[in-house]
Amino acid sequence: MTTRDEGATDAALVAAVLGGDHEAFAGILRRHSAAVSRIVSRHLPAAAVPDGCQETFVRAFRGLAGFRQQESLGHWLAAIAVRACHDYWRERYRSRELPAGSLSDEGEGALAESAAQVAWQHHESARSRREARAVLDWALDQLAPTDRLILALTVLEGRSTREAADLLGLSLVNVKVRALRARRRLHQLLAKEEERLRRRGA
Amino acid sequence: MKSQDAQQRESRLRQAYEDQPSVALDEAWQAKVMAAIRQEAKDLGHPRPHAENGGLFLPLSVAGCGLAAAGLAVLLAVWPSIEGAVAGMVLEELAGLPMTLLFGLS
Repeated sequence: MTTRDEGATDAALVAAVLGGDHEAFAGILRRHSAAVSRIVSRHLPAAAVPDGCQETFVRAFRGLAGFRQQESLGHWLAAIAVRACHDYWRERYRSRELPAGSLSDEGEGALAESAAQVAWQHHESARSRREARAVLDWALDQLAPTDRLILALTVLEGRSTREAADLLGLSLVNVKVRALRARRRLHQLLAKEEERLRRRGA
Repeated sequence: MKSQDAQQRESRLRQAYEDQPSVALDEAWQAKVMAAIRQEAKDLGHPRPHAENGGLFLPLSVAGCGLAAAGLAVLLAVWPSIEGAVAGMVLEELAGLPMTLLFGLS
């Protein structure tokens, strides 16, 4: 962060950019890129994160005049980041670049253990964490893009449905209904897969 | 038991989700984004409020006015012939009316 940016508030940086000093946007970028990366890393595959973060900041730059000073810039950027991730998944689903429909070997291992009631007891180990992530990615890939984001925000991040609705720009009712449906679907998927692996192992 | 299973499952998934490390964004990434921002500013002409919503308004308005002006010019250019033709038709109708009435009555 340059000495000029260090002392400047977010509001001052925004005002400078809107006044035509585009280089002041670098201050916003440096100050908020780690937080944006934390959000995007949770929702997108690692390889897609740098582009997802770039998309977030380019959208923020385009829409900066719409930023209201009453809200925090961090929260405003978080909403843009979540929507960029939402669009990423919608685009992937539309172009049928869907992830594999079947569970990876790692994921199968984790679920098979779960079916045998031993499951995830050793989740402190790196291998188990990797397996758990494989199960999670597989399960999320089975959901519609919007349901995926809602489930991640509410069930996995523990945000309220109101917060999720704000971040995604959807109505509260829509988010409530989708969260319920996505949660049910997640459990059905995992239970079904556990059952399949239990039968196969028997 | 079912709900306990579900709770356990969710807790493990949450753990896996939280364990996901953040991707580190380096100086090269920042330089790339700033280059994209400069290009964006150059292309769009910043500041430009609500560009994503109102960006097409001006070009469409200009195009609409242009089309309207061209239409008016064509109309004015062909108006004398239209006017003549219409006037001729009206006169013909008026001239023919008494005869039609006459023949109709007879």
